[in-house]
Amino acid sequence: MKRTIAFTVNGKPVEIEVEPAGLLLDVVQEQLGLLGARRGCETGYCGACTVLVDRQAVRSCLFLAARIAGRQLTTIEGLATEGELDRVQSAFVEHGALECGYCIPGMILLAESFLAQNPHPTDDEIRRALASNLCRCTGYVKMVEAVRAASLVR
Amino acid sequence: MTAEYRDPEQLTEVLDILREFGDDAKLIAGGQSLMVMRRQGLISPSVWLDLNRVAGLAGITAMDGGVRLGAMTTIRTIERDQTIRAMCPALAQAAAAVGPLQVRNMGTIGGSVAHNAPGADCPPALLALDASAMVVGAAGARSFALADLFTGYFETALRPDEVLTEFMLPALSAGARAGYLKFATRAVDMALVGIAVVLEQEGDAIRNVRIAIGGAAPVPFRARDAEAHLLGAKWTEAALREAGRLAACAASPVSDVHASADYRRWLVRTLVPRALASVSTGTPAGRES
Repeated sequence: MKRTIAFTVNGKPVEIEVEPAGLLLDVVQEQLGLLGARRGCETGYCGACTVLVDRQAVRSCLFLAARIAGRQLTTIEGLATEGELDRVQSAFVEHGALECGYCIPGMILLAESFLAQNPHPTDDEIRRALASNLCRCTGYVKMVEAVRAASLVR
Repeated sequence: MTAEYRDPEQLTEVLDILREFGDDAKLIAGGQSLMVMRRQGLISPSVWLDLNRVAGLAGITAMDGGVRLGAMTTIRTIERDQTIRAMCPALAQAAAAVGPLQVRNMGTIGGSVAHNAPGADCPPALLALDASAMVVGAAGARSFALADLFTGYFETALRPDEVLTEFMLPALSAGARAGYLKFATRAVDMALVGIAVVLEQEGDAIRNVRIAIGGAAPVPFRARDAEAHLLGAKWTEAALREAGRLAACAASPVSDVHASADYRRWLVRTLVPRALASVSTGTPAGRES
């Protein structure tokens, strides 16, 4: 049975009907039309589908759609303000921290969540956090540099 | 067939739904393991019963003689909580060692225990800390020593109408140290073997020791023979080595795609002395982030 739920998407309130036992990833891609959350392994292994729920990184392939009711959903599309990339996005661009790009929305949202709780991380902590997601181009070194640089932006 | 979804706000409603649907209902906490199993077609309940909106199931409270830990407390909260870090460092280290950040953000301590996957990091820590678990069901509440809750591979003593609500962690005695050491191939994998240790020394004598091991048997277990060998003994490398050997004898690991049973047994033998040594010197054994 479908259920109507209200929540915010990148700051804007929405009210939509969802299949409650469906997955947030399907809602984000198919109902909200936000394709930055990537469909990767769908078994919680790769992190490509990462979104933020109440500012915390979440794997949308492991999150029941109905749980988003009343919460704040942030996707990669919601990070820039009036066309200005935020500090993590800018750092990824400046450091060339991307190859094919498929994992990047997930990586950036992961870094956002990590830096929000740990604003002055060590390199070791950055590596451990980024290990949460897979980059099959293996472009991790520049990502670590980018997250370190973002952490130093005031 | 589409599954039903319920997300009640009161524990009494949870119990009502469990009474009505029994085994056809599946409780979901963080969902980080269950959603994978669903995707793989291993489970398909007719009702998903979401505990996330139920009042009073999450939280950490320091009390006289210990810590009360709500079953819906997330792994990330446990990892970062000052009370847990101060009073139950082995559990904080185990929580920090749990896979990806996203899993720690959503995953819960109650879910981890009720799921009882070999290689989960927190259950051995709870076992070493002598935790007890409170379970509420149609017939009332029951309290379990943690060891009695784990009955088999992915199985617990929880009945279909019961919910795990909280843990009680007795305070460590003054002078006791505790830690958790994990071995996994990649940082975000489940433990091939995880060792939780509580240790009390007086000079070079061992006054009290508890060793709990995950990943090396169908359920997390206490290495009783190793503990008995160390209790009252002098702190020597030979004693630690013998404890590792005895712990490995008590292990009954399985072979799977991640490691052979023999390799896991060798890990126990190697890591038990290493975990004891790192706890003894106060070096955090687990991972931090």
